[in-house]
Amino acid sequence: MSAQLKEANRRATQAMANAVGTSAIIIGAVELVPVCILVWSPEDTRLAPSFIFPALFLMAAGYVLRFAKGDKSAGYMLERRDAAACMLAVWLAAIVAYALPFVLAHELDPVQAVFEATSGLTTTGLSVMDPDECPRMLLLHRSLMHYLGGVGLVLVLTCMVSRSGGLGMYNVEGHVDRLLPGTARTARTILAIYSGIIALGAVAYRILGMSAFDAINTSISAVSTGGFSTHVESIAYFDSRPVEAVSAVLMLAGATNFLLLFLLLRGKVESFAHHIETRVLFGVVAVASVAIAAILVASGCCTDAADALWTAFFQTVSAITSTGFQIVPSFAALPSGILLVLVSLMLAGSMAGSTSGGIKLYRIAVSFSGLLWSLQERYGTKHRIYGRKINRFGKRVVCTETEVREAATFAATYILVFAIGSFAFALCGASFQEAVFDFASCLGNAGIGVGFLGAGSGPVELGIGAFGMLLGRLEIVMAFIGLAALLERVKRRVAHGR
Amino acid sequence: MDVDLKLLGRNLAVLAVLYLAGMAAVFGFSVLGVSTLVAFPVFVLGILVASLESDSGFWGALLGLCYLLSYDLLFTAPLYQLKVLNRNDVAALVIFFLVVLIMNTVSQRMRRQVFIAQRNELAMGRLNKLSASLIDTTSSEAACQCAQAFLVRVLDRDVRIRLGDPGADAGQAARDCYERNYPTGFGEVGYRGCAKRYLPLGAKGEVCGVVEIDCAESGLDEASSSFLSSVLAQTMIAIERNDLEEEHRAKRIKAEGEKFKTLLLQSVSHDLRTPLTSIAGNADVLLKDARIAPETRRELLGAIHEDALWLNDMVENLLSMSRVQDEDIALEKTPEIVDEVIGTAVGKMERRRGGHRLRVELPEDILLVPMDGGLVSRVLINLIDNAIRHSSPTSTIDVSARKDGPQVLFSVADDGGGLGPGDPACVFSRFYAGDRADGGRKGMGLGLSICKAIVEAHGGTIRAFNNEQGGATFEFALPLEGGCDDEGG
Repeated sequence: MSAQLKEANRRATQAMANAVGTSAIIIGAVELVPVCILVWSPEDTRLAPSFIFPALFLMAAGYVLRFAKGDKSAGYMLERRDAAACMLAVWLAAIVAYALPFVLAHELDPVQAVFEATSGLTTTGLSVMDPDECPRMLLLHRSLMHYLGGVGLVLVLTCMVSRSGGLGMYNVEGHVDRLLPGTARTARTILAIYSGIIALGAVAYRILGMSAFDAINTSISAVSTGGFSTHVESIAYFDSRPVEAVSAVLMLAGATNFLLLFLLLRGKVESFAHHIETRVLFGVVAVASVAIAAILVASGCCTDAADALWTAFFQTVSAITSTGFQIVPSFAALPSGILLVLVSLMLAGSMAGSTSGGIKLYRIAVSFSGLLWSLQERYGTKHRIYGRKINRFGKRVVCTETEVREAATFAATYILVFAIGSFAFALCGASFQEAVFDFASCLGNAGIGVGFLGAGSGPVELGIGAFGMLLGRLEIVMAFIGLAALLERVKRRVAHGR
Repeated sequence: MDVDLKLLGRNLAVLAVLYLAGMAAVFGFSVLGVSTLVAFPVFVLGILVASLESDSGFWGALLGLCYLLSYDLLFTAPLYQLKVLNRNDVAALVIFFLVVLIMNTVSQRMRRQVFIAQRNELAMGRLNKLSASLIDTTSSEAACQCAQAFLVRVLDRDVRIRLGDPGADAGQAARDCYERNYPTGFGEVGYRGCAKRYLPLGAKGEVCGVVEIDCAESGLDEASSSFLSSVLAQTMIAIERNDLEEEHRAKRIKAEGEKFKTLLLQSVSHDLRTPLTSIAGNADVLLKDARIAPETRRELLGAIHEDALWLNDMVENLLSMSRVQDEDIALEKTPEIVDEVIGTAVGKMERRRGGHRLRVELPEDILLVPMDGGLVSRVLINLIDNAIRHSSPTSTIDVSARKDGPQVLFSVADDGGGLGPGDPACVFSRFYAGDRADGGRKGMGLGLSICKAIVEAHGGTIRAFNNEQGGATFEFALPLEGGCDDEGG
């Protein structure tokens, strides 16, 4: 290796160590937040050490990493591969550190804890815990994971550290829209919008009669489109239409692109309404609600049509925003037609640049438009020129061939991973319905399930589920690029004997 | 101010995080039932990190104090009071306080050393770069320029390096510095109010210049001063080396010049004698015998005339040579029309062409070329003369000029004989006279070398080759552009 390459490599390593170390410190510090609940519920004191020590350990490890590799990386922009590796490392570190409190508090075994932490951080919402039995500190911990994971770990980090390689990592995590000049400012604006909506939601819930603790946790869970609930019956526990309505609004807000929310805040309603994803989102919600309601009525599960429509609407929103709240007692008992619709909704997800999971409606819209254009080109009249424009944020933009191809490739990859994961579940003994539904739920970070994954599942299923969630949250490709880069670095280290 | 606020914010953030982490750890230990004395190593760790990450020891001490007070208030009996009852705790607190002080000092010293090491590394890198660029310089002025630009960039202030006596108008401080060989100006006793610092530039007790450093905004710190002195030492070495090289070069040129003069004298005296003898002889005959037939008389006068013309030509050439050779005199280039230059040369040679045919081919456009017209027409005259003398007696000589890209190509071609064997380039060397003596008058071999010198002085090129008509072609190119301030000698 030439000296120059070596130097570049050294700088990249330094920048990576710095970025990961700084992230670890911040993630560790945030993990201390649930301890504050002691002010209101001192009975959880015995749990405090299980938060404090993992957090401190992570901070110390992060500091040592930073310190050992020097701090001369200011202004160094990470390459995409390295940035992906850093991002993956940050997510893995966060998962491990946030899983430890469950283990140390003797609530879960290690695999279950990792599953729970992954579910929380990826805002999936599948749980192996019984929230009604769970200490409040752990419930707050779960919500905190949703809060961080919903908007993206790296985004939260970027808010606090405007330099140090965060820039490269920021884009790799899937934040591509620029609200304001400067990454840190954009990140702060997004975080402010996000937190603001959560605060509004909490206030609304409190007015509707929830306890303050429930209100805060449910609001975080709804806006981050996570799905952890403080009660085992989820939203059905509150048995209140207004609560459900507020939840639906919060979920839709969370599933809306932050740039669109920003435009909406600035009063640009037209841009919001004409944006392609808005139309697709609300169109799909309307169609799916009606379809599900029809099946509900037809199969005799529901006698009252209005009731059926409301249930159908709520569950549609919950699935397409990848939240996972439920007001039906169990999904397993529903007709399989509904399950099929829900699976499609979970795989589709909502807008790009929001907190939701799935393929993202933007990609779906683009690939469908691409399909349409190619059909028009092939079979349409030759005497017409077809427009190739789509509406993005109120502006009609030409959609390039590359964009269409990228979107289609992503969708195909996603479906492929979905097929493989469902197959893996089936190998673990799941029925076809369970395998497809629960893996779609994992990969789409949705969090509704027909009962295959739960407190009674074995470690293999939970492992596959957690892996699926992480893949879905990191949008598959970046996760693999990061993994490859990380392994390569480790291998080089081992080969050099250092 | 902005930077200060940022730094302060960072320090406070570090402190807050460390304080919270430390207190959380102690709280965790107390919940687990571990002795609270474990807290002290934790605090020590916190303070170590604080003094490493903040910019002064103050923050470490502050953190220690905060830890101490909080610990005393929250974890020692009696709770929530500053009193300490337990002797163990008192001892621990005192020891802790001492450890904090010592560690703070040690880690600050470590920080400073790391800082110095990094700075030295940076300075070394810069010095290496400077010496690399100093090696590329060829004169002492260039070396000074190079070092000056470097210092301006690195020290981020105005620096001037002046070689030689600063002169009377440079100010008392600069003169003092040059005359007495010690630093003057800003920061020295007796130079109050002077915003510039002057350092002598020299070695072995001799001063060869003054370095002027602008200190109006801030003085030089210790590191900059030592860095400056190493830069100046490097510069001095480069200046001395360049001076020596220059001296050497001058000597070599002088020796060459001497050699050339001797050769020229020998050759000239030898070659001048032949036509002079002939003139003297012919004149003698004409003087002594008044009864010479008119035809013979005319013949003799013609011979004298021809010899005189030849001599005149030769002297002209010598003068041209001295003009081109003299490096001190720049060529006076003015835009000349190519047609006129060729016309002058051909007009002069028309009388001497004898049985040769002269054919002129002029460019279609009017071409203006910056040149010394006299010298370039001399080149053409020499080339045509060369063709007349060295080609068969009835050959045709073509003189032409045309535009060729950014230059104008002149060519003189004949169709009789061509160049002899051997390198065509050596026809341009001094005192080379062709082998093909045709019984006519032999030249000194100066003509073509003068052509080469003149063309090259104009920034052009000249070459000779055998053409397809079986003769020799001489071709030279002069640049169309190139201003009038091109190299003069």
